[in-house]
Amino acid sequence: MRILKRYIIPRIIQFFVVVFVGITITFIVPRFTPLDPVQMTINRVASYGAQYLDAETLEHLKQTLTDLYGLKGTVFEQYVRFWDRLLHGDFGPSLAMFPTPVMEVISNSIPWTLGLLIMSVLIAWLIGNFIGGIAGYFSEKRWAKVLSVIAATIYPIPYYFMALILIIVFGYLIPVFPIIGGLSIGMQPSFSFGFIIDLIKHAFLPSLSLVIVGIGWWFLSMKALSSTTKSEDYVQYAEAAGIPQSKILFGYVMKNSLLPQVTNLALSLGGVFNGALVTEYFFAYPGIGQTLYMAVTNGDFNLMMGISVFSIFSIASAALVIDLLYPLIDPRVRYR
Amino acid sequence: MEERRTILRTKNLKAYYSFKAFGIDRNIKALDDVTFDIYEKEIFGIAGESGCGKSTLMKVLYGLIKSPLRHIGGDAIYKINGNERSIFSFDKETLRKLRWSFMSYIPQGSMNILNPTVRIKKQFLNIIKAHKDVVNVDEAEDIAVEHIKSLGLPLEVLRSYPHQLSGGMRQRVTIALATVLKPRIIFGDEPTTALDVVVQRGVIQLLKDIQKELNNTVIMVTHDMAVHAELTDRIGIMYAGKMVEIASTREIFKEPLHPYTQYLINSLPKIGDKSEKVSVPGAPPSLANPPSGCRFHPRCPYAKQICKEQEPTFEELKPGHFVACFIATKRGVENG
Repeated sequence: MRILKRYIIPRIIQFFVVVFVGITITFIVPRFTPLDPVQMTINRVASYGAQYLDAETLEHLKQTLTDLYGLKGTVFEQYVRFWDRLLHGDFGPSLAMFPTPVMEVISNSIPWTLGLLIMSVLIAWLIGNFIGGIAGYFSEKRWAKVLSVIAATIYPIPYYFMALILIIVFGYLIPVFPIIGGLSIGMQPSFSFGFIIDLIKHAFLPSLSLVIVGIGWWFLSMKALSSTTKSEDYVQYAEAAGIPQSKILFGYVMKNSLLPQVTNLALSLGGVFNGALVTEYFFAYPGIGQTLYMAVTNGDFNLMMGISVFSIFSIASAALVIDLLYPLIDPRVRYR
Repeated sequence: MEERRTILRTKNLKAYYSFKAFGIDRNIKALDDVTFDIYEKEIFGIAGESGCGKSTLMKVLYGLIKSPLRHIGGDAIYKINGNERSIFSFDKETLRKLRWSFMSYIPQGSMNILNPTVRIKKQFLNIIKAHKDVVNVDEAEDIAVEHIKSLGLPLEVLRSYPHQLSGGMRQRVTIALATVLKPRIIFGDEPTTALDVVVQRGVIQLLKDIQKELNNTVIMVTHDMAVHAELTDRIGIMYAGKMVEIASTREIFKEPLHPYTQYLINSLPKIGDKSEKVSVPGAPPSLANPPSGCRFHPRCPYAKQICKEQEPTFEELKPGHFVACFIATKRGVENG
């Protein structure tokens, strides 16, 4: 029970504090913008041809919109109502896709992003750390040096640039992969073989652009970690003790170098909820990044708020989960 | 006195650290022309100040030669199951198998030689499985448990992680690890350094008990003459990469022949002796460019012309008492 009191509870409290502060900031920041969302909507409505609204209707419309956007009353009243709605899972309607609720827009797009990004991050993490760990252990070998040069060349490439290259090569020069959308038009979600193949085909290029760049980063960081671990006393000792090389590589070098990488993985996974905005935009992938892009270009405040709250919540949750799991991975953390 | 059988003979052993700096080769002559025998069932101590080549000698004897250290000449011959084999004749795999089963190694107490994320038990199993064809984990575990019991250590250490043990206990575990497969030779590289005297005493006693139990050879490197007095049967004194004197521990302390050994012994505090202690004048020579002739001559109060010009040979002045010094040899001849 001591571990519950000294380890778990403080971290859960910390989690709530982080979420609270983050969401509060999300609430405050848009209120500093010079844009008036109500006026913007009225202008847009007006531009659709309703120029000749009489003053009373206009006033009525303003009232309704102010209420809808949660802008009624003083800032404090707005803040209280904001939390009230938030706790009921209500972010109001999306303005760009009026009257669809923000929650629905987000829940429609988030599975796409989660599927694409979690897979990409995991694949990149596994491959990058595996090769990086081995290359770090054999850092004097020629092939390890060649691999580092390749990784150092790939890693600084912006992932959207990589996306463009892939689109040109596999969508245009050798058109083997579709370059638009998450599914073929008219494809209905089902557990059929054809559907899964279609899904993977559409996800392949966006995922590849993220994986290639991701591997470069994980490779370099893991290589640095494991080549440091290699010169630790306990690794030298294991070599002197005649423990087989494969055992030293996986049980000693990799095991200890992976610890910080697990933390990094959790943070990357938390960041997944932001979507890979540019990647999704380039491939017209119907994920949260694409949705956020649309929200920003249309001045859709409710949707932006919803996505921000979501990503604050998810990053904090990922950090909490990894914090709670860490003692299982690193015994030294256990009794602190 | 029973007839003593050698287990290790070195002949003119030379090992240099080679560097290339600004296109010029530099050789640090860390081990130059070292010849001595080590017998079965004895505790042999190697003493000398920092940088005299003690640890290099240990590395060479243990077959841990890694660049920039290079074996230049001479030989170290082990008697393994009645066959004489040079340490330099083994391939990697043979050497790996010899380690721990024939010869094992106890590193410095201050080093963190235990894998921080693995329980002690697992570390025992790793070593046992690397060298013995045990059928299953239980069998290996029995060996570990039996061994820990026989050394009188608490069984809880097996379930612990390294960071949960005290420094003294960790060093005892290291000794237990080194002796679990009952090796014929144990190398100790300053195993008591960095421990306080009370813990030191316990560790020395443990080593003594193990040696008596296994009836094997212990080669003990330390600069601490008190530890030598307590533990060893014979001592070799090293100075600037050379062995300058070898004799039984009793004789080294009672009747040191080499001027350097005399300084070393006279600097030790004795109960009731209030006279001021004299240290060796000057500083140890650079091993990159050692003095001509006898390497001790610049600091030797008895140095004569011949000491500057010729290197003294290592001679047996009395039965079992070897010394490399013109002065001592001459005195010996006059007296004899």
